[in-house]
Amino acid sequence: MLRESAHQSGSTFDLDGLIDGQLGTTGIAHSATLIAFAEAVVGDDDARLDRARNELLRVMGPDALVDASATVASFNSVVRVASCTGIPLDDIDENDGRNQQLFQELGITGLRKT
Amino acid sequence: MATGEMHRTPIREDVTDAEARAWGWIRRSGTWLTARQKVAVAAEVRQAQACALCAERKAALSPYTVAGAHGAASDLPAVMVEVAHRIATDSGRVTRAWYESVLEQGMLEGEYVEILGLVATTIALDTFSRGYGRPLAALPEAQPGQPSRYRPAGAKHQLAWVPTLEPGDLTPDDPDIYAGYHPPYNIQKALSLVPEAMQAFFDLDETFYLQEQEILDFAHEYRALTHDQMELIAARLSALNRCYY
Repeated sequence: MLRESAHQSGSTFDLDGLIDGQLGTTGIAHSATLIAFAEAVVGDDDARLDRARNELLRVMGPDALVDASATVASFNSVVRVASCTGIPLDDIDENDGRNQQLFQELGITGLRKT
Repeated sequence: MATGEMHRTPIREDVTDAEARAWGWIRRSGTWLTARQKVAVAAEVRQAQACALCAERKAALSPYTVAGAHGAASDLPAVMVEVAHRIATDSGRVTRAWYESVLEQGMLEGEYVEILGLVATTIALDTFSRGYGRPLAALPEAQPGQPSRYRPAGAKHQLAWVPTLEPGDLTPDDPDIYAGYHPPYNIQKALSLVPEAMQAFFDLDETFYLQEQEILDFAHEYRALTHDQMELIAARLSALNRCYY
């Protein structure tokens, strides 16, 4: 979904960096602020969270704080539904070149979906 | 502004409404769990953050090498505490063998799925509060009532470790859990063994994130964040939680 939404908006991102926590350069606006906030929300350092929240409020505004909090809440919970039921990935076109590139970046080339 | 302080940033009304519905579901008698057990599961989600066994397991190379007893907040059976704590603190390393082991300890498949829905819903509610910067909500009082013990007749072992219900296997007795999904993704089928849990969780989840028809509508933005900003957060959260999906 990130790849598709970035493709649609013409922005760029570094998937390896995103997975490793080394964000690097992305073309997505306020990406560093959002990632810092998301990591702080699911972490246990309250002072870090205060700084991240204040920075998000400063650069993106109060509505963005609500929706960033909501997005973190959504994905911090839905990942558990996926991981703890053993559902497989949805059917995707493995012959699509962009999918093949994604599998290589994720290091899951050759793994079965189920 | 410090964590726990209230501030004046308004919250979308659909969010506050969805939060109220989610707490209402938690406090009502469920499909397999009593209302008291459901509220106790929510309490265990919070307790897990301070559980020494959970911390030790999370730090271990494999959580399955660390034995012990959880520091529980309730009188739930030990296997229910184990499920609630493990999903709350280390979901990325849950395995099918662990799932089968909790069934061998006497847990019913429906109980497992309902607890998973409760843990995920409680985490969503609490994560939003923490991000927004307000205290966690007080746990609700359990309402009287008895579990329905309803199991969809068409639910089968077919897609996942847990039984799931395909759209074509819905019967007139089942709630129309896939209305609006054309077709549903696997993630939406994951909790379908317990339709109430599936509906309660995704009611909140889609209010926090995006409604089904909005997810792929890249021509419009529905939030104060763009699609790619939201998916950036999603991807980072998936990596932090070691989620493959």
